[in-house]
Amino acid sequence: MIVTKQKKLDEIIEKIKGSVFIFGCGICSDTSRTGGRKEVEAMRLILEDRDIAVEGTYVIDAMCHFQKVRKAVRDNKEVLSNAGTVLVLSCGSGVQSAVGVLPDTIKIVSGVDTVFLGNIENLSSLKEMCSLCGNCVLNETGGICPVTLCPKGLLNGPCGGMKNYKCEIDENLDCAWVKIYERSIIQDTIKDIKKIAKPKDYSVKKPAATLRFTGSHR
Amino acid sequence: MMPINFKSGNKLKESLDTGTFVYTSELSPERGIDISKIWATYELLKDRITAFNITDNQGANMKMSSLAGVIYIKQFGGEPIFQQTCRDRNRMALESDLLGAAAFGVKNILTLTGDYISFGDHKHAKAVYDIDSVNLIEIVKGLNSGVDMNGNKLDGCTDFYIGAAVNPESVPLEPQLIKFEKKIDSGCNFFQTQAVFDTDKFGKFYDFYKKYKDIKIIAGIYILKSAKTARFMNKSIPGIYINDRIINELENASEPLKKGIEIAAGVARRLKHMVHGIHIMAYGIEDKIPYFLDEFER
Repeated sequence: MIVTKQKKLDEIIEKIKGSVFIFGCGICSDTSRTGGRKEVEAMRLILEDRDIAVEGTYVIDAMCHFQKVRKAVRDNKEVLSNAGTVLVLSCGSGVQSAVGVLPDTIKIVSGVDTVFLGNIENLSSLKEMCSLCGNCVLNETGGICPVTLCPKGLLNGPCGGMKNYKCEIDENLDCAWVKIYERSIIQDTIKDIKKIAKPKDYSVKKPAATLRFTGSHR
Repeated sequence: MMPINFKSGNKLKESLDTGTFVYTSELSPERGIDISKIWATYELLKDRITAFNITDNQGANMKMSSLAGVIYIKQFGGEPIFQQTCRDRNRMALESDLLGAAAFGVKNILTLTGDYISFGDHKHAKAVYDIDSVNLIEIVKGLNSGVDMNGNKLDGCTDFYIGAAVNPESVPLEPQLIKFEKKIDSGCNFFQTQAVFDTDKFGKFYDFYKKYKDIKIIAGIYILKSAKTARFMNKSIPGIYINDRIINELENASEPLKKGIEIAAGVARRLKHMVHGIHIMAYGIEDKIPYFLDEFER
């Protein structure tokens, strides 16, 4: 899931012009507790408390899905036309779905910051384990991602800053390469991590504007 | 004829090749363009130090570039070791700076990962780490053979003597040794180690590396000036392990700095038969390095 966190309230309010329509996202923002039903309702009350009129609210089950956003816009056409601002409590992808679907004249404000692709340990603990790098090394690193879990994204082993199994940037953080080493012993795949990893190929990833996924089903 | 005149040869490589015990130390550029401190330290130490490492934004603090630093050392007539970290530059910038250094006659490179950005004074900067230190060694080896990392032919190739870092006291040691061997396989010629405080632990590392006859090991020796410094380093400097025995010795000494020099010289003497040289680190007390060397050679 995509982990988001709410922007500072004053930063959101500063951007709002006129009355507001609020969109939430029923998948990731709901799990992040930034834009599910509860949070959308809470935002409505907060804005009304600040004398900002809320024309309506709607939670789309996946705001990254253009067709679902189009349908939601159709279903709320009249109320939306009264709003000066559309506030989107969804990741940057969801915000841009709204930008892509709504007329250019409508002001769209993002209410959250998009942080990372997260694994859910529990609802109070979302962990980043994959960086969406487009060039997966998990088959070479015992299934543990050094691109994400090593702050330096090192591909060939630990840096000299590792100390007592921990990362140099935080003594509570396990060194990803120690974890990879330990798992490679158990899995009997040490030969994989002894191979020199070539530099990552960033051409698979960028420029983002030219990246189109046409499906791998063909 | 272009008016360029840099001394050829490589004092570090030639010394190591002929079995001469080498001494290296560090000169750190300032945050600014004043090079008078580097010059003063260089003048003080030049007769006793084989080659000087020029640090690259050390501790992730923004300083004058190590590239400019190594060029100055060449102009002074000294032998510089060009430190390059992977933290601040992508592969293209690293290659381009390496060519620039080589064009100024720089012969030694120390390839480093680089302390993480959050340690320094530019905490909000983007950490680059486009490639790692193993990849950087491969790149330098390629430049030496006349091609860039994509196989494009160079117009004039480099002649770098390639160095890297290793932490012999790393716990656990095995992942560090895997990386050490990757660096050797990539074309590394010499290693400068992280500061050594425990010679028994170093002995285990020695047992591992002694089979690599052609690889030169220069042991890191740190001159501690007080117990407070030692505690600070244990807490704040990545990869440093200073044991309680050393901290207590410093704590109970009437002259902690003198004791620190004695401790460092003791460590260096115990390592001498296992290594090809020592790398002396004495941040802020570089003027004490001659006393350390006297104590070491006594």
